[in-house]
Amino acid sequence: MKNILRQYGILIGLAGLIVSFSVMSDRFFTISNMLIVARQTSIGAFLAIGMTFVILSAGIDLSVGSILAFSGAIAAGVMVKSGTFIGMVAGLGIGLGLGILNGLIVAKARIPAFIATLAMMATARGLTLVYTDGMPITGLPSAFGFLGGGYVGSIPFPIILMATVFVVSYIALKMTRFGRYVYATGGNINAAKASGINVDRIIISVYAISGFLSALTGEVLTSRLNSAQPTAGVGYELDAIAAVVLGGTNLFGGEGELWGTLVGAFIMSILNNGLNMLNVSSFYQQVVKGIVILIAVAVAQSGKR
Amino acid sequence: MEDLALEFIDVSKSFPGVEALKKVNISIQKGTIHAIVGENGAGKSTLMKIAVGELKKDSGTMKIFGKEVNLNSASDGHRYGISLIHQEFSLVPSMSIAENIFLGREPTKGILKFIDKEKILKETEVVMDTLKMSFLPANRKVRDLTVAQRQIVEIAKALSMNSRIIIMDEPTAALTLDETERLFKTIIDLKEQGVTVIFISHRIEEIFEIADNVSVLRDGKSIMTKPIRDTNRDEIVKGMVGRSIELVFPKRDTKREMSSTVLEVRNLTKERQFYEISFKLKRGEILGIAGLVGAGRSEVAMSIFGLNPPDAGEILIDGKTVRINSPFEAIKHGIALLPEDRRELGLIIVRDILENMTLSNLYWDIAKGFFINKNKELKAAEDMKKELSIKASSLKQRVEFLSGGNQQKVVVGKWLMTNPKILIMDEPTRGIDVGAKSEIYNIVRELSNKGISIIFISSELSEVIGVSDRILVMSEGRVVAELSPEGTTEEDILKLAVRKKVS
Repeated sequence: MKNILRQYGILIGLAGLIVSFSVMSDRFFTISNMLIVARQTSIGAFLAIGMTFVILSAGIDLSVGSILAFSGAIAAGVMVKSGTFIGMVAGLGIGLGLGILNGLIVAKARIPAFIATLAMMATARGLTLVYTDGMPITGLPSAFGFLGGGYVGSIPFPIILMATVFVVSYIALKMTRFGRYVYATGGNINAAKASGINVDRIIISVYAISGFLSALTGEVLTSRLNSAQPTAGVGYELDAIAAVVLGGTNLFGGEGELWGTLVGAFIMSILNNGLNMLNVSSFYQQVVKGIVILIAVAVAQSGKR
Repeated sequence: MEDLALEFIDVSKSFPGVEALKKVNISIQKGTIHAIVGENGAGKSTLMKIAVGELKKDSGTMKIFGKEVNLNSASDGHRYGISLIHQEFSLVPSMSIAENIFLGREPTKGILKFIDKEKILKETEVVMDTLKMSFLPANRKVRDLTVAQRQIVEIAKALSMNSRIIIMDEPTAALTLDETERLFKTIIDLKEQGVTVIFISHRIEEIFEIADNVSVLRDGKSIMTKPIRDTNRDEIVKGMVGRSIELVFPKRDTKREMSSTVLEVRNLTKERQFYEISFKLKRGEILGIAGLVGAGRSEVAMSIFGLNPPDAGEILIDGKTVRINSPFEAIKHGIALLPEDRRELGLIIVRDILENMTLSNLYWDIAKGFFINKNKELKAAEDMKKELSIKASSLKQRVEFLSGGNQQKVVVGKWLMTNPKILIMDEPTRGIDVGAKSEIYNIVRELSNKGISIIFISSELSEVIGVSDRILVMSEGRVVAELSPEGTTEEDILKLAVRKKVS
């Protein structure tokens, strides 16, 4: 009951945000701007959805922004030489591989997730700089532009991709054995193990999902910008964590809902979009975002008691 | 008017889903040793936490030395001179005795407010001296102390705060007999110094040794308060359980067939835990394993279940040697383990009854093809809830808020859903109330009648005798005896269980 209240609370927050921005700017609540918001949200949503899996399993993934950049760079670099498809596969493969590596380090080497992924964050960023020599990779095939900039009818393709990723992830979490095991592992890893669950496999899987979705984000971003930027995704891990926490997921694992994360991701991008429209300087935007996150989590916690 | 140290008048307290205390009335006289007894879950700890301000009462009145008080925190309690010594101590292991005693209220000196270390050491020595413990240097680190010594440090801490009422929550639970005797001497010394000592226990024998008065709690209600000389063991037990204890165990059907051997363990050994454990378990048999805490019983259970790989020895199921390296493989062989620590190994307490119950079954049945068959799951869980009469408003209730007995039934249900041939129950009745206990005994009996073999590990000897078809006694990692429950007394088992220690 309280759980439901808590999560509707965040929905009310989202509605409140939309209403206030609509009142303050008449350009805000228009179909074209809402589509822009949704497209912007997709970038954060992929990462936040991956992060939800990780946090539900009582972990954390600080490396998403760096994996995003490295996969984007690999995709772009390979693409320029060997074509769009091979490039995309290479990028996604790298993200998946680094995610699995994260999982192995956490599950098998028993290094705390915070440290393991912090190390990956630095390493993958470094590899990106090495690979790109610190310069953007440009001259990408035009077909690749569809991923981040294309439309199906009047709907931007990233939105469709976001909906797809959300639905698949939702099904995985709620309707499959795997999803149950993720919740169980995060809720009490020892009890999960004693229930016959291969918890190492679950942990490796959630980091793999996070790595894969980071790579997908990297490619969408690369496509959208028509170039791979070595500094892409800096600080994105914090936005992703913020979206998950705003969505009501317990940072200690075991509890939380995917749709909450989606609402959280929307709140983050609506804040960006609305504050831009009101011409709030990007410096102040950071301050506002920080305060909003703090208030939202404080409200959620008070509902819990 | 008698001189009262502490008085509860109609004190009530509820937690989500549980009424922990219902109009409790207890008076504790100044300068006495007052025992508070009751089964696990009777509300003893809750009442004591209210007494010192760690919890707030919902209603009722509490008086300390005749003055009505409303405490909001433990430091409020300290101000009124009342301290609680927990089962799990609140000492910082990396700090010294003296630093622990003055933690959070360190005396300072000079304008820079440096901690006055000499004063701390000196005052610690004074207070340790009144406890006749001056042989412990005040600067010794707490991590280098024994459990009994840590307890004394807790008492010293309470005394140095000028506590006039000291509450001890099951202080003897982790002590050896010698240490218990020494602790009792300390308690009597405290009494002579005019301190009121409240002593929580469920070992009745102890109470007669030390207490002046005794109060009995049952299901959150105060049943009686009497001078110890005006009561006896039977009256106290009856007060605690609400009925005479012989009724609890279901009748054993001695005629039933127990022919084929389901499980055999041969020379199972794990260094420093257990040695050369061998036994056979027949179909439908209830094999009790008795012994003291630390005898290695749980370790053997965990080994059979794949959680604690043994160094040597063999496990045979239906006559065939098997290797069990994980709980998954154990389940595959039809073994289930109801773990000793329910909350740590048995339950995902943040999830609901449904998810907990079906967790171990998903792979084998309900979610065989990866997707969860929700209808099947719901029906299976609903049936199990009914069968075990689990009291909860719905399957969607978080197990965190269930009573100990209902939590245990959820774990039992979880394992029954894996259709085990062998169910190992490690202290299945620990921390659950008497009513739920007898339900568990009935479940055990019914399961064995259905042909499930059960290993029943318990430290409550009466229970082992009452439930088992055959009893193994373990001591210091070895099986020291095999007994029939017929004609075996608790004393018989106890003698065997401690035998090694004496020699």
